[in-house]
Parts: sequence; C-alpha cells; structure tokens
Amino acid sequence: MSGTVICFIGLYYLVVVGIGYWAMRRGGGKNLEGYLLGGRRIGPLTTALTLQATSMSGYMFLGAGALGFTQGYWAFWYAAGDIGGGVLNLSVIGRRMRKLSQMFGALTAIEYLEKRYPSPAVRLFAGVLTILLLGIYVLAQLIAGGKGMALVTGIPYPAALAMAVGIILIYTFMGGYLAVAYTDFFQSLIMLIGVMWIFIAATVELGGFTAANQAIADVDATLLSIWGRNLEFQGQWGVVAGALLVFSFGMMGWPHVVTRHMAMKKPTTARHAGMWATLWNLFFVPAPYLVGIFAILILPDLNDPEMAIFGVAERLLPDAVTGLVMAAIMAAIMSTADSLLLQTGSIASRDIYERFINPDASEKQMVWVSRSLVLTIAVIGYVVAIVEPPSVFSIVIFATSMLGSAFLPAYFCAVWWPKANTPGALASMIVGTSVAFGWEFASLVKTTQIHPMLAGALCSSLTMYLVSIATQTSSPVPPQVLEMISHSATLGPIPPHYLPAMDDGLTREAAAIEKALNGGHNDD
Amino acid sequence: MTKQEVLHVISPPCDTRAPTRFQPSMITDNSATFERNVFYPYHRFLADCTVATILGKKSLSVSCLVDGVNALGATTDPFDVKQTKVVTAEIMATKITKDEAHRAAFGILRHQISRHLKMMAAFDIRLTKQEVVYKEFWILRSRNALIMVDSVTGGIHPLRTLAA
Repeated sequence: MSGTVICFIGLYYLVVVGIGYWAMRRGGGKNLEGYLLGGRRIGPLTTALTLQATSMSGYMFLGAGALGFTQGYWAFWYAAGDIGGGVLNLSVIGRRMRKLSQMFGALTAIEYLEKRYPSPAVRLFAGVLTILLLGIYVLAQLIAGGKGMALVTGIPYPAALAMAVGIILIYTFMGGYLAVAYTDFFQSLIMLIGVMWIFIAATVELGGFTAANQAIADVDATLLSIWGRNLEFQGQWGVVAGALLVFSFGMMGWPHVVTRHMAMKKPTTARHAGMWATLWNLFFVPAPYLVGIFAILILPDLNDPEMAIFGVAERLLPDAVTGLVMAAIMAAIMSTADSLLLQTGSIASRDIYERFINPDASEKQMVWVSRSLVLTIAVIGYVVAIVEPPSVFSIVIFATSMLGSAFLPAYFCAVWWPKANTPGALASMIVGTSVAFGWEFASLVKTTQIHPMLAGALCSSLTMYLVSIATQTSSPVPPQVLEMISHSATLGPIPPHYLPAMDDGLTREAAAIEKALNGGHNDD
Repeated sequence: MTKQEVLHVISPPCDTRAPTRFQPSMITDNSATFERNVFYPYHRFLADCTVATILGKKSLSVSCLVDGVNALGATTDPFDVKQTKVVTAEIMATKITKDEAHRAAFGILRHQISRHLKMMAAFDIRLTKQEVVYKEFWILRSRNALIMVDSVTGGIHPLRTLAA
C-alpha cells in the first residue's frame, strides 16, 4: 500500500471525526436530544442511506464480489432481491410496525414480539435465537474487517484480524463512532461514489460493457448465464426463489433491521425512505456484483475471490481515491459490526438477563452481561476466523436464511393477520429455525434443489397458519392487541371530515382518558 | 365553590387557552365545541450524564418523561412548566409509583444513550430533578364524536366514550 493511500485514509478519518464534532456542536453540545437523537431532525433520505449502507457492509464488499467472481451473472438473483428488499420491507411491514410498536411501547424488536404475542417463551426463544444468529452474522464482519485491514496495512491476516477485532471492541465498549447521522451520511456517499468509481473504472478498463461480456464469454460462456458457472443451478427454481427471498422478504425477519422501523420519526417516513432506499439500491447494489464479475478478467490470478473488489480498486483507482474508498469501506464494516454487537448485547442484557434472570439488575450488572457476551463472540469469532474461516457469503446467507425462516411469519403476521397468536408464532419460529438449519447441514439443497431460506420460510409460514387456526379458542389474541392491530392498519387517508391531523402518538393517553371519561372502563 | 389545585403544567408553545383557535386548521367541522379540559400526569426527570469515550469525557443534560398512567417513557426536548391553578375534577391521577417511574426513565435513558452513542458502558446518570407535571388536553365535540387536542403539540386523537 503506497504512502499516498495511507495519507488519504488518514485524511478521510480526520474529515469524519471533524463532521462528528461539527454536528455535536451544531446540535447544542450538552443537550441529549440535540446531540444524540439526530433522527428527529433528519429526513427520510439520510435515514434510507444510512440504513442501506450500514446494514450489510461486509457482505457487499466481500461476499457480493466473491459471488460475482465465482458464479458470474447467477449472482444477480441475490442482487435482484436486494434491490427490492428495502422498499418491500419498508412498505409491507414498515409503517404498520412503526405504529404498532409505538402503541406497545416496545424499545427492542424482541420486546415488540413479546407484546404482540404475549408470552415469556416468545421473548426467551426469540432472544436466544437472535443472539446466536447475530453472533454468527458478526463473524462475517470480523472476517471482512480483518481482510480489509490486512490489505490496508500490509500486515499478516491473523495480526490484521486481531487489530480489527480490537478496534471494534474498543469502539463498542468505549464509544468513538460519533454516531451522528451526518457522519453516516457522509460515509454512505463516499461508499456509493467509491463503488461506482470502481465499477466505471473496471468497465472502462475492459473497453465497455459489451466488450467485457464478450471477454468473459471467451473465458467461460456459462458465466454469462443466469444459472451459474457450468450451469450449476440450471432449472433449479427452488434455489432461485430462495436466492431472491433472502434479501427481499427475508430481510423482514432480521431483528436488527426491523428495529429501524420502530425508530422512524413517524409512520409516513417509511414511504419516502422506501423511495430513497430503492434509488440507492439501484446504483449501489449491482455494482459490487458486476465488479466481482469483471474481476475475472482484471485479476485472473486472484486467489481469494473475496478480495475481488479491494483488488480491483487497488489495481485501477488513483492512490488518493483508493485511500478514501478503502477507508470508507473499512469504517462501514466496523460500524456495522459495532451496531450488531450493541444490538446483541442489548438483547442479552435487557431481553434475557433483566427479564428472566435478574429483574432487579443494576446498570453495572447489565453492562457486564453485555460486555461478557460481546467479548465471547469476539474471541470465538477470532478463533473461527483463524482456524477455519468460512466465506463471508456463506456466513451471511446462512444467518439470513435462519433469521428469515424463524422470524418472517412472526413479524409479517404481527401486523397483517390479527388471528396470528402466541402458539402460532412460537411454533413457526421453532419450525422455521429447525427446517432451515436441518436443510443447510443435511445438504438438502443438492437433493431437493430447494434453497434453505425457501424451505424454512414456507414451513414456518404454514406452521404459523395451522397452529394459529387450531388454537384460536384456547389462545385467543388479547382484545387490546387486536384493537391496536386494527388501529395500525388505518394507513389510508383519514376521512377529511373527521380527523385530518390525527396524532397516533397520543394513542396511550387517549385510551387512558377514554377510560377516565367512561368512569373507569373502556368502551369496547 | 369548585375545588382547585395548583399543578406544574407543561407550557404550550403559544400562549393560548382558547381551544377554538385550533379548530379552523385542524378540524374541518367548524361546529366543534369545547367540552372540558383534562390534565394528564407525567413523571419528569432531569439528569446530568457524563460519558467517558475514547475521545474524552462528554457531559450531557438529559430529560425524560414517563407517562403517569401507562409507565411508558421517552426522552424529550427541554420544555417549561408553569404553576397553574386547575379544577381538581379535571386532573387525572397518576397510577404508577415514583420508583416505577424512576426505573422506567433510567431504562429508557440508558437504552437511548447507548443506542445513539453506539457504546456499551455504564453511564453515570445523576438525577437533578424529579417531579410530576401535567399536560393539558382539550376535549372537543365534533358532530357526535369527542376529540382530544394536545395543548402543547396541537395533535388530535379521537375518543370513543359513553358520553359521545
């Protein structure tokens, strides 16, 4: 790595830190709201960009490029799902979940599930499962961070991985990411510009899109097909459907993503954020896959497909741009890992430890639980990443398939199907997890030609339906939950003669005032 | 004579106690009439928080409101309260204890600070003030429906009541 690259990496971090301090001072310095709660003042554009850019950094820069490099245009089944995933997620469950979670008063995605499907078992199972799967998901970010660090610094992978893990832990435990939305926004823009720059440089290097594709055909014509190298997946529509599902509908089952719905300024933010997310995805998502495909020609001797994007950037971009882009990518990867670890720690301390083990836990005890878990994940992740590192792509797809299979019906039916009840949700989570896990480890994809995500999601959805219907009498959905679901469904225009400025934030107060005016009982 | 009490009432941004001023812009039915006031209780917490980060110590002032009936809380922007004499019958009683409110408030503050600082630490939060404050809601009748209007934000919500 040249001195210019290192210099521009340093410059990038200086700018990011500068933006953070500027935003802190601008926000009022000492006031919590002004400094911290940027979301109250930031519109859907920034919300969408930061959401998209920081949710899957490791996968996009290592996994997507590797998939394009090894399988050619087959990779676009995953890209297609990814492009539509943001808007699908926001439009299908975003607005309703935002409204319902506010009415429930839930702070975390797991707490939301327990309040929709009232049972401690739901919270316990969902919490433990999420901790396990997010822990696996973090592993992908650790490996990505280690590989990126090795390239940037030039030190061996084990030492680079230790450095990346160490930095992530220090930032998670002591703060330092200056989580100001403007910083994330700047980072997102640099990432978008950087990825587009790499893509355009690669296209120009190969003499244009058509010339590039002709050259790929000369290497292996099957790479241009939608069925993968050597037509490995030809006619396997079950696998294709799963690949499409993973990042589209599957995303609806990710607790760390659906949590973002709960933090939106207001339900209508979802519509605008969805539009921006789609626009962002149209430019950002295909580029890493295409750069991976073009790397077949630019870096024919590449040993590690996961380094395709980093390698193309290093080969084609001016040193200054390489420095900026690499810094942005590394920062995004570590920021994502940091967010996932915080989410995991929060679930462990708040949803499991305080809820089930020690209801009177002090703040120090809860922080100790969170930090112990994060440290354990980091140590296990480091050992796995050194001894037998799985590919970033396989880790992300495995974790995503499991999360989607387990939670998709629970989150989807929570807002769309009032009959979905506690036994149905619990059974669907257990069945979805078991099927997706079994499918993966018994290698049933090859024999059945059905993707684990598809198998898991179908089974968990069917279970949700059958068990909920069968237990309607014994476990009815509580009336107050039904009322809130009904209220969350009122998404269309409010009748102009009635309530043009209805504020759903007053639902709880309204219920209490109704009760008081009615002499202590609700008018149901 | 009607019994009255002095409360700490959250001050509206504009100095008006005339609910009908909100009618033209928010309620298309111009025949809406004022029915009564309701003073809704919240536990207010003001605290100072010191956060040690790798970039140095950061001091913050934090403010949190906990719903006195439902125990739901949220961080808030700074606001003023005014001592106001109100009719006792219009005051809703708080249904949660100070300890319950305290626990809810600190849980929310910890969660929000950790989430937005992206930091996992034991935050040094020192309570500087705890009091019960009230927000005034105006109950209006529009056609056959009762509607409540938030006197601070102007937000509106329908009420389904036996009285309606």
